[in-house]
Amino acid sequence: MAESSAAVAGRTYDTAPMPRRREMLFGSAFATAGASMLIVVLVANYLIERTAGGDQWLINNQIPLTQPTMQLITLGMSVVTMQWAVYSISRDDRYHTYMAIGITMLLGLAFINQTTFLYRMAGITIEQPEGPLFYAVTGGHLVMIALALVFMVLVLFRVLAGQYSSRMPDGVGAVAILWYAGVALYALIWFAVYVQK
Amino acid sequence: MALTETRPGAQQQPAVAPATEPGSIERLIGSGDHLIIGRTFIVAALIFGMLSALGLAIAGIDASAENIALGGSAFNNWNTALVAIILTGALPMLIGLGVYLVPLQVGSPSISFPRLTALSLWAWLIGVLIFAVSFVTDGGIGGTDSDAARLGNLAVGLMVLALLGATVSVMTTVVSHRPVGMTLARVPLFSWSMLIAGFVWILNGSAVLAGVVLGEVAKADASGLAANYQTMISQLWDAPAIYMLAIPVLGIAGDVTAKVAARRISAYGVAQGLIAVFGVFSFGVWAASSRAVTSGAWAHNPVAQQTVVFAVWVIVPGIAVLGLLGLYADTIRRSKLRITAAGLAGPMSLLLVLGGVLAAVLQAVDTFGKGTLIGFDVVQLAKAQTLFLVAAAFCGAVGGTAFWGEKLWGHSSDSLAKPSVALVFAGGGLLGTLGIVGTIAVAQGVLSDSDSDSRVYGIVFGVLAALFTFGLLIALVSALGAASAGHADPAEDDQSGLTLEWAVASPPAPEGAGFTVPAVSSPYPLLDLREGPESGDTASTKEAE
Repeated sequence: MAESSAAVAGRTYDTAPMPRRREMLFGSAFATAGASMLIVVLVANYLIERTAGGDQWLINNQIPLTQPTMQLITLGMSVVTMQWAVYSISRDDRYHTYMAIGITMLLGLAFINQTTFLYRMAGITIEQPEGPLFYAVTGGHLVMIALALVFMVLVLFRVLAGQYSSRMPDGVGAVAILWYAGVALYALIWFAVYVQK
Repeated sequence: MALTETRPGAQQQPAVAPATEPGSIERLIGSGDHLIIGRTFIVAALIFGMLSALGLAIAGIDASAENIALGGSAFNNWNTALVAIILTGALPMLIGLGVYLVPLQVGSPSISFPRLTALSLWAWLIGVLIFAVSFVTDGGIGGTDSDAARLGNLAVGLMVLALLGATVSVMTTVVSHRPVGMTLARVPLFSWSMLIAGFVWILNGSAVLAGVVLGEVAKADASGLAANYQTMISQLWDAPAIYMLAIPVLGIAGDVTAKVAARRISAYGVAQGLIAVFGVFSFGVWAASSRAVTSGAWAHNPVAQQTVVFAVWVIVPGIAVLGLLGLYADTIRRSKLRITAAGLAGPMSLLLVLGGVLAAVLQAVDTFGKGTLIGFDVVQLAKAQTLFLVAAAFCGAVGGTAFWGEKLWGHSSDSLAKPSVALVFAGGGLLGTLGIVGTIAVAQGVLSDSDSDSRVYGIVFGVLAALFTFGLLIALVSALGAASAGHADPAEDDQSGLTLEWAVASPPAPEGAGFTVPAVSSPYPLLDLREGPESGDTASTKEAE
């Protein structure tokens, strides 16, 4: 990157070359930090309330562990496919990138489907004392996963348009950061809400 | 005749609609230019900040006069004014300065995610409007009308979300828009402080959003939302999270000091480190009041403030501020001083931060002596601390707008900025001092909760808040006057700047036109240019030795 000369405000000096930018990666990381903090604070409040509720907490509801564990496994598999997409785009393997993003989206949609099934099984109403916190925690996370899927669709369109490649893989990396955080947060929810009950 | 055929002899130019220049309103609304967005943020924040401070003055007098002026409860008026002054004034003004200046400081022609930044500005303005409507209809914070209070809760969420969006843009600009040579260790102190502040704002602000989400999901009524505010949201303006307002002020003071002294800040890395330490100890979600919905109680229950960790946590930032004061004083002591508004605002805002630390230390003292030696009212001390930090944020931001006035508006108006800074410092500082002195006086039995004592206290509080408001009004007049004066002669541009924002025209051309960046080898690239080849980090190392 050669430097050139320029004059600004009456002075002449060498201009610095601009580096390769990674603004999508950083922007996604900062936004993900905020979303993660929101969920973590909700989980913390859930735990405080659950401790205060004692033996009476969710006493009238049945939440089997099998279903949430299957959801964790589903999201766990999606981590592998998401990383597959990141690996493929950085090697200009477009076919595998499409396939990896597609499978990740499929697993994400499966997770949403599983969550709605779990909601019906648990039968927790918003009026009962546990309701607001339960739905704030799990619903907040569900919204995060849904937003990540929308982001993934946009990135997929851009991959199809050829905007991302090994020279500029930032978009795929950016959505991967959000997705990994979503999976890690679900692991936290799985333990705090479903295992601890 | 088929559409593809052309009539003979009709080979003429198709009619083209004449190009129309967008009007000023269209440019304002549709712009993604960080210069326009930043200016709008600053002016709007000054207006709303001034109105909120006025609300604080009226709330103070009102509380002492049995609520005859505003009606409603003192809790409602006070907390609504407090939330308003932070979310519609102090925080957006600092963010506006960041949106405007950070790209210029890091040598970038634009901000990261300009459309997100524009969306943040307009979402914030809508949030402010909704919050005002909510307060007027007996909502706001702690209002008695459930629907209006729910609207207020939503408005708080919208304002925080919008401000966090702009924060992400500013942070990403610092991290990813730097030119080659400008490592993070060479980023100007204001940009560095905005990066640190951004982390803290995102973490603390997201916790507030969690509170807003809970309030909405629970479909809480007015009293439930008041409880939710006390336990989930108000932590943002209590110690230690309230320190977060002062982080950019530390950076502004550093950049002002270097330019006023026309020399490098010695031990630049230490200054950056101290700002980072201050930022780390501004993380305050852990100290939020315990949530007690199940037990039915909703009183302020500051459990975390009765621990040793809290005492250490609130004292460390004071040490960082003292360190920075020492560094800045060391930079200035060998220079010929010229008194400017910005030069005054730097040390004054740091003194206000130290006032806030003092209030926190008294809370910590209360921790150790609770019920035996001392019996301070922790809630009153927290209010005093909030006032100190809000005043510090405004004092620094007003000083910053004066310091960079030439770049912001095309003209600097130091003559008006000086009384503005002085009034904000005096009004804010005395408000905080009144809170501390009043708390100690009550603890010592000098003051009581009697009507006459409360009335005197409320009137003094109102007068001081009015003084603070007047300072902000002068700052607004100064900014609008400078903006309406038109562009200065380019030949009169200030050539004494040290960092990259001083290399662009005053004010900078829109959309980064004609923007070039010199090679960077130290935090002060323009000083390097003036000093010649043996400059940059080599020079600063020698100077430090």
